[in-house]
Amino acid sequence: MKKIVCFLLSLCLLSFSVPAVYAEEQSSYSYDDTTKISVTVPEYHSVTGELPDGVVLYMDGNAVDSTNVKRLSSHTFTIGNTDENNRKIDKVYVNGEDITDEITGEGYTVPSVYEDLFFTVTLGDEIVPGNLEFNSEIGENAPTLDLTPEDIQAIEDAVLTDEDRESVKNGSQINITLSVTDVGDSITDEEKSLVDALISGEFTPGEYLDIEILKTTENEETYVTQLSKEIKLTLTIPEYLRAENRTFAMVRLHDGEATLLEDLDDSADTITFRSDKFSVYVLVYADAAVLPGQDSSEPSVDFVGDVDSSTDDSDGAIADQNSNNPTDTANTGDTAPLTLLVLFLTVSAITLCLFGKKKEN
Amino acid sequence: MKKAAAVILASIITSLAVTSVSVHAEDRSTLITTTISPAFTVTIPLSVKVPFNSISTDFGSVSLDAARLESDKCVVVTLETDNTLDNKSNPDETIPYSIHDKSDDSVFVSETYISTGEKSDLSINIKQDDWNSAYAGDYEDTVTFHIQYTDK
Repeated sequence: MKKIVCFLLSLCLLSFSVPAVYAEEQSSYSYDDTTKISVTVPEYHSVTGELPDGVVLYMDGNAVDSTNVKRLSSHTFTIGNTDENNRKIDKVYVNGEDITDEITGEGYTVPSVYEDLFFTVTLGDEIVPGNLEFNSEIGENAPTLDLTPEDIQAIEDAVLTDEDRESVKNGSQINITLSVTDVGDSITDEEKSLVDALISGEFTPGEYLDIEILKTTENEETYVTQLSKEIKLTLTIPEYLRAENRTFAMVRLHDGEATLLEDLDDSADTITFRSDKFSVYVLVYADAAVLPGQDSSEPSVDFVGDVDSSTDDSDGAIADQNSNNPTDTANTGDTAPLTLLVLFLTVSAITLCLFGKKKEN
Repeated sequence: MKKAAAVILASIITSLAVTSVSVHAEDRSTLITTTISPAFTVTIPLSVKVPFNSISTDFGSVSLDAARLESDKCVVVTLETDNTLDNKSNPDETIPYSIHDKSDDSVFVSETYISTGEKSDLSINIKQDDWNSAYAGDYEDTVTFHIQYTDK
């Protein structure tokens, strides 16, 4: 019994001391916990794009619409454009990065594909081709131009640069104006001397002309004095310079140098010459005599000063241009009126006869 | 004998009661003490799968919840990591990463928490260059959070 009592007493004492021990043990402690982090790197990456009609994406030279490429592989991309509205590629982006310069040049190379590639291509505005216009301006008293469409095409080809042609393709307007102006009043003595020295004894200056080619673009006006190649120009001889058996030529004054350009056509009413330099020109002429039996189409000198090709042949005073009649008066270049001379001689003879009779009486 | 023992025990118990009553009666003070055990919950991020090519991925938070700490104590959470994701197939291929405290973008190493609600929002950062050079495959790493209840 004593043992039981002692046990119960011990229990009572223990019940007071346990909480204090517990508190001591909880004053500092630690524990661990873990968390897992994971990631999956894909084996392939997609290559896709948002491409306008007519635009093709090429990968390593092959057209691709949508494909997959192995991660970390190398590829080169280019862009083809066959837009029917002639629009040019404006911008090319891959995943938002502007690669326009690279992909429209030698190609955009991705040395190691490490992500999906999404190409976006935008086109510029529709390009309406510009216009190339040719005009000719003929000044007062200047000879008119006689140009065929082929002549005009040749002038345009000689005047336009590659840059000009590209500019027209891209919508620019370019005007080419060929002007012929009589500059007889403003020609200098020095220029006249140059011409005279060249043609002395062979030709007579007829008309001084300034033949200019003006190229007008949207930004500037340029007088083109030197073409890339020669062009052919045909001028109509002014009426007041036309004469029977008269031949014409053109003297070009360019950079202080006078050059004689022969007439390349067979028409008496026009002069055709070729040139690639444009400045002052002088229309010169020469009159030649037609000897008896000589074809009147050959250079000749007409005895009649004022020649009208429409004048009736019946008056006998004007050589028949279409006739080889040997009885026609030879063209000596003497322009004195023959009829008046004959009349004067007749009157003189009659007067002498009358004076002779009076003396006899 | 049994009766005698019972009497003795009853006397002891009675004497204890009598003693208490007698204390009150004498206006003596009694110290009442209680001990409240410290208690707290630390929440750590769950396992996370980082999206491919993401240079900053939300990693959740480390937070101190339902905290009942002693006034001179705090909870310190320390992160242990080798900052490397290892390829499961080829451990030689790795992707470096770092865990940052989003509040100031500093690398998270450890943080001290005192009261309920305090937390650190974390992110897993992988540099773009590291993504770009990573070989294909599945990568994994395990990080350990040491939680310590300690003196301030």
